[in-house]
Amino acid sequence: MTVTDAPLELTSGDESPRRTLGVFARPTAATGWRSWFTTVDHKKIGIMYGATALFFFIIGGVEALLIRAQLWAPRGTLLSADQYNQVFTMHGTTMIFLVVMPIGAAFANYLMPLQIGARDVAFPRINAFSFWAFLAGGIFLNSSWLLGGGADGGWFMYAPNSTVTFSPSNGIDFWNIGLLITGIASLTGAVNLIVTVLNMRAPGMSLMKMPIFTWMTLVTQFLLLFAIPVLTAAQFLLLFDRNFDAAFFDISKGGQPLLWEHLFWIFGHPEVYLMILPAFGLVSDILPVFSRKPIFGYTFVVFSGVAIGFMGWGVWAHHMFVSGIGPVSVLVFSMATMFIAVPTGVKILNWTATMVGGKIKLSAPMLFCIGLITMFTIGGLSGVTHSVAPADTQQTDTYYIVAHFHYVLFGGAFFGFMAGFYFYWPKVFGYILNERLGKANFWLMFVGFNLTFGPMHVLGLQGMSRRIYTYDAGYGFEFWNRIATIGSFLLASSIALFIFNIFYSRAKAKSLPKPGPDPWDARTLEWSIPSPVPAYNYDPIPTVERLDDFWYRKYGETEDGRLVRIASTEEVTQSAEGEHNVHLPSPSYWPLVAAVGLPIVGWGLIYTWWLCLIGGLLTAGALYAWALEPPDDPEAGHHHDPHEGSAPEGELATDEAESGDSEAVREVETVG
Amino acid sequence: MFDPEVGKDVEVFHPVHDTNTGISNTKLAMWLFLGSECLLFGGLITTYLVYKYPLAGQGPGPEEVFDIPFTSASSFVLLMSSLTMVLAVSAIERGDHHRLRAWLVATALLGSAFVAGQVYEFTAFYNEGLGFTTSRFSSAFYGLTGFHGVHVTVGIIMLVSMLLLSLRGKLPEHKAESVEIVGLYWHFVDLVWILIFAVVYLIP
Amino acid sequence: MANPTHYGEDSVSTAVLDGAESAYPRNRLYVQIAIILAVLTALEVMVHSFPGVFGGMGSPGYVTALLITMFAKFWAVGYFFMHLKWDNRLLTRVFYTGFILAVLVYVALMLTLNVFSQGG
Repeated sequence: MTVTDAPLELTSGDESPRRTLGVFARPTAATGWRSWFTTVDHKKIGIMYGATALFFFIIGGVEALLIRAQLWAPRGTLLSADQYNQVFTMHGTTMIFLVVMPIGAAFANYLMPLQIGARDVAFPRINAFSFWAFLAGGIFLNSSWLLGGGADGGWFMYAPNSTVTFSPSNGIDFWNIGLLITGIASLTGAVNLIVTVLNMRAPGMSLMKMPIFTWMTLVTQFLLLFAIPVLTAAQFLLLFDRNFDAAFFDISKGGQPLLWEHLFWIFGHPEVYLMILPAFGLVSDILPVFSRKPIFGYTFVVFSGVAIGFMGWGVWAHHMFVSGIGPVSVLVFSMATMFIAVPTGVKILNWTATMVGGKIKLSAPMLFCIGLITMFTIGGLSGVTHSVAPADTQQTDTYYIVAHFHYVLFGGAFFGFMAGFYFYWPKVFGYILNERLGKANFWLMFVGFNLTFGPMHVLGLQGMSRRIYTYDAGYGFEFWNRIATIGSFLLASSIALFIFNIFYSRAKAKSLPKPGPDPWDARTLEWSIPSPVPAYNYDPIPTVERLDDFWYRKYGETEDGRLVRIASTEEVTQSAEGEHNVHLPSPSYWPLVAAVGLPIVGWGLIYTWWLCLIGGLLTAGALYAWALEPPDDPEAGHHHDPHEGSAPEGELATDEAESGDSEAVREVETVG
Repeated sequence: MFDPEVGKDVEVFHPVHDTNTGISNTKLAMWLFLGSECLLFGGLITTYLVYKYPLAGQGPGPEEVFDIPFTSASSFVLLMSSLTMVLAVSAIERGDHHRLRAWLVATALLGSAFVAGQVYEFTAFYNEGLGFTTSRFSSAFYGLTGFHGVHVTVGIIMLVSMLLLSLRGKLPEHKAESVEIVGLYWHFVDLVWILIFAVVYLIP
Repeated sequence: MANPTHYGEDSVSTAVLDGAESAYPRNRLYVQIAIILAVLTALEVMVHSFPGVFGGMGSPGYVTALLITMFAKFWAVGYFFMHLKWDNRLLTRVFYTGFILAVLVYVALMLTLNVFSQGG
């Protein structure tokens, strides 16, 4: 990405074709549906992550409703035992890998570059590839429904249940290869976003001046960077076992099922934290806005997040207390699990203290934030009860566990994401979601959520097993199961209300004034640019002097500590009007093509080897074309450049930029 | 540009990286990726250590098949390829394109020799009755070393690609870093083999 | 741009090496490090060939000796060949964070799996 004097010219899709490799024309469209397939813009990619995740959320939600409908009454007959296994496995897998993780990625992609004052991520094309690989993996995983049934071993896929002997259908192969593909997406995304945070901050934006969401994104991506390869290693073993008859989990050859459990949870526990930390980051940025106070103890919030990131690696065996790991291990992992509650508690305390004494405005985003704090606290406390190994022995594999992790994942992560949706909607799409519907949305979701998962605590302590497709009458399970099922349909209707609100508010927005750059009177940098955000983000790149820099451009303090407005919003925000001489990275086909090859290899591994060949060649060819294609179309600035006689050649771009101003040189680093 | 008069005072080209850290994005990305690879190979090495001995009566064990002198020789070959790789990086930093190509060829050939040695070793083991599915030891051994072999092969492909780029004149000095990045990957593959050679082959 | 010149295997001779050395002082260091690495590898093979010197095959002394040479080689390749000596310290931190994390979690895994599970 080079800054040249050329005006922003990316909108015309009908120019003479530009050739890369002498064969293919480089895509040029920046608007219209075609542009979404070739875009390298972090904002569009973020929106696509979010939209795709919501689509998979509906699929996973339907699976959840099937589970609850099956458990409505004793001896339910909606699903067979085998179908039930598939549905709960795919529900868990979908919600974790295709919903919560990608919504985190959506916010990270869209917001993080804005919060650090960057024009894009470090490697825009790799960013596009990450998204397409995630989508390809998700489609591949769900294609199992059409090709003989989904995986049926639970989302943790314990050995030896996952071997061909015990699960002869192809479901687990789809699970395995699908998650390997999304793993590639996560890994490339992690590398990309870490480099962006470390290398591409605006002048003056030191690490300790970054918004907390950006900090949590950094911790999350480091967790992904180191956790995903552990799962990948375990999945390779499973792949070789299932598809090439290896002996890794073959008991008759001395395979150890516990090896899988260890590898899976070494990945699985950091995974838990990397799902919740983005939501923590969102809440930490939203609460101060609606409390009209700075976050209480910024450094504590940051470092407790970092501490969670580190300690998350030392607690994995608390998922395995009943697997016979021995008293020493149980003791060590019990203690570690109790300790990790401390930094989480620090965050809860800081959020509460942020609200204390603030002028709290209970808008929809704020309601969802408070929902997260309360619901996550309940989930966190039931989590601490698991760290006590004797109690955990009773709770393992009961609905008590199901209640716990839904309180942290739905009540924690998803409430945080809902807060983020309501808060950032005007920034992303240029209209505010209806406030009254938003409040109704919150209360419906809050009540539905608690009705669904609250009773599961009771069911679990009464001894109802999870993953059992039905139960007998007379154990006292009927009442609470009915409540839970009613709650789940309320929860589903709250999601429907949210989707309705999106379209309703968009229709209404035409007759309402535009929200402007800063509708919430917010604190962080992304509110200083127009809504929706222009393609170039910032022009000029801001210089940051302190934490919440944007807020302190609007407000000052009198000598007796009272807050006074020192500048109007118009004075401190950027305008989309006028000339913006920013040259952006050019769109490309190759990330999409490279990602399309991956699931073809996957189907090939399951069905026939020649598909592997086709998919492999497609991906390899796309990677070569990608490597040979300059990150910026050398001709893109040429046709519209009023100041220079000759277009910059691909290789000269660096030299030219180095002679430019410091901003220009920084932009050159975008090469991916 | 090749300067036949390359003297002692040649300036090394170091591009200025005006990033927050002063490290170029690609180099930081490669190191992050390598840090991540540590956990991938760690998982496979751990699997091997857990499964090091087959159950009784299920084919040969490590002591019966390993040929330490042969593996030592191929380890040495891979180690020396790291030297030629670093000399290739050093050559392009000085703008010496002829030596760059020579060292790239040397590195690729040494890498190929290593892979050929691995193919020979696998064939020999197979003939001694150690198939991939024979025992937990054989699965873990072939899985780990095969995975490493694939990494070496990918490295060779990247080296050859660099060579072709250079021959077509598309690898000027200011792109020296792309050779260095490929070099980092190559050295990492060597690092993994240093671990495998000691932990898998030498320590019983 | 220079004329494309094809170099075969035979052109990789010591003459090229000598030229490179004189042209760029760091190359001399690289060659020295390579020699040290080769010597360390030879030492490893010696330890394996004469395990009695260190207390017998598989004894703590034997394993320690091999682990020391292994980590020495590992460190040297990273420090010199991968330029960690000259590059930004952040790169060292990033890489060794991954490496040390891997060592810690996997050693803990093996201890939990094979050692501490016996008491249960």
